[in-house]
Amino acid sequence: MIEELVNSLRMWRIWNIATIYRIILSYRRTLLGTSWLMVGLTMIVLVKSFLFSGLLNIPSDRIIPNLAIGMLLWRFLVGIVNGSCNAIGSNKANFEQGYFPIFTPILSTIVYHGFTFAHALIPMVLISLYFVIPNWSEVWLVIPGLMLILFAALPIGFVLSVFCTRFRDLGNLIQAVLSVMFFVTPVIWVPEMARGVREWVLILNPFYHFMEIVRDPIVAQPIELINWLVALSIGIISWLAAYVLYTSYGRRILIWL
Amino acid sequence: MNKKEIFLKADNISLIYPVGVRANIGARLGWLKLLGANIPDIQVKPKYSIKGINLDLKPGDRLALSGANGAGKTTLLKLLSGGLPPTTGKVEYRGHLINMLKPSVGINQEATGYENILLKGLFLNQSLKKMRSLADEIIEFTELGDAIYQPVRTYSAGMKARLSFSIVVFSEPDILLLDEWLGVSDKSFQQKAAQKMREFVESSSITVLATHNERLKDMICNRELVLKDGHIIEEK
Repeated sequence: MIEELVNSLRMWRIWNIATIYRIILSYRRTLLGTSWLMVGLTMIVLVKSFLFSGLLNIPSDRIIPNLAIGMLLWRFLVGIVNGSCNAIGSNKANFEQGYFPIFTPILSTIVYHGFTFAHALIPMVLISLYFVIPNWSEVWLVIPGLMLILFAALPIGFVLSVFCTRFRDLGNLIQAVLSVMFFVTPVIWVPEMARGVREWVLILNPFYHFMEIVRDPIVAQPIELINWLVALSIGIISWLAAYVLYTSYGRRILIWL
Repeated sequence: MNKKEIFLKADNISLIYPVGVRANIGARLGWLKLLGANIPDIQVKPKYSIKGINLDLKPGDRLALSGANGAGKTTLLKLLSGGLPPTTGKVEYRGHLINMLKPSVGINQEATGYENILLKGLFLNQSLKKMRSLADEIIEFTELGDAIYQPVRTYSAGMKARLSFSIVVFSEPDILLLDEWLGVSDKSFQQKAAQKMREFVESSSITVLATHNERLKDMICNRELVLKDGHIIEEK
């Protein structure tokens, strides 16, 4: 698996240059290209902020930063999950042409969603900063938080991609589950609202932990150790699962393409 | 790399494909049964697509793979290129290997012809620097003129074929795997393309060509394997 991983990283021209080029090409014949995501996201955040701060009776300086950074991270995480489901399948032609390292399309997916995330980062952070000033001594935690997301994204993307290639129904099932997960993840509501059994739904939700390790330092919320421990554990377990899957099936999954 | 170090070896390779569809589950065939179609409950069972093939190719070898449709020629090429993993046995090679199944793979319709020369180069494992240095030669060969700076989606089918063919034949593989001879339908370009294709094959150290064309086999190849049901029935 290490060899396959190293070979995939060596294909940086494909997962880096070709993916960046894909974003550049999205600007052709359009005014804003991929930046339309930023416009759409800003509009959604403003409208939802107006609605939910009133409906849920939460102060604006709590719900709006939570929503702005939450929506940004939700789209990033879900983009990687959804993109990974098709990553191997949509590269059938490349795999058939010859040896194409199996992690390359997953890396492309992560880079692509990393760039779309960066597109919307500035407006969302500005919206958040308008309502709440972060605790500057904790803001640096955003960097290890994002690193932890990327650390877990590759093995999770690989496992999902392999299973979605083998079991064609799984991609649709994951999409259906994700639409439910949005409501059980504190994006349009805040974590302190979860009480009793709902608190367990929150703790068992992996998206919650990956979101909080990046969002908390920006929106000046207390840093919870449990979020970091769970996110790190998921990352390590995912690498173990990816290792077991690769050593059991290896590139044989390509037979199912 | 020293040309003498180039090789392509297959050590007793086999590939088992799962074939058949379970008609008794899922919506794919189930609804046909509801309409009264008589579909037997086929079990998914493994089938040998390639069985026990050994190869040892050295520089200068030009191998033809022949056999009827479904004999396993394309599958063997995919195994040799690493596109498919063998179920048993192993494939080893040293050198820059290119498998020319479809020259159009990696062509982006929104990008210009020039940008595609660079992008497709990445998928052929070439550096941007190398592709930039080859670009003028490729553009001249394509005879596309100023159209090279237009998006590929505006090209005719013939222009697209010229572009993808030209990018591919200017790559410099040590080991070349070909599934049928590459050509373009554009009449004015055919002769030039055929000449370039011959040069392209001659420049590689090892060539494996899957084809039905007897004349081509005699002209290009110095060895031949005849396949039937995934195994070698004759070696010439």
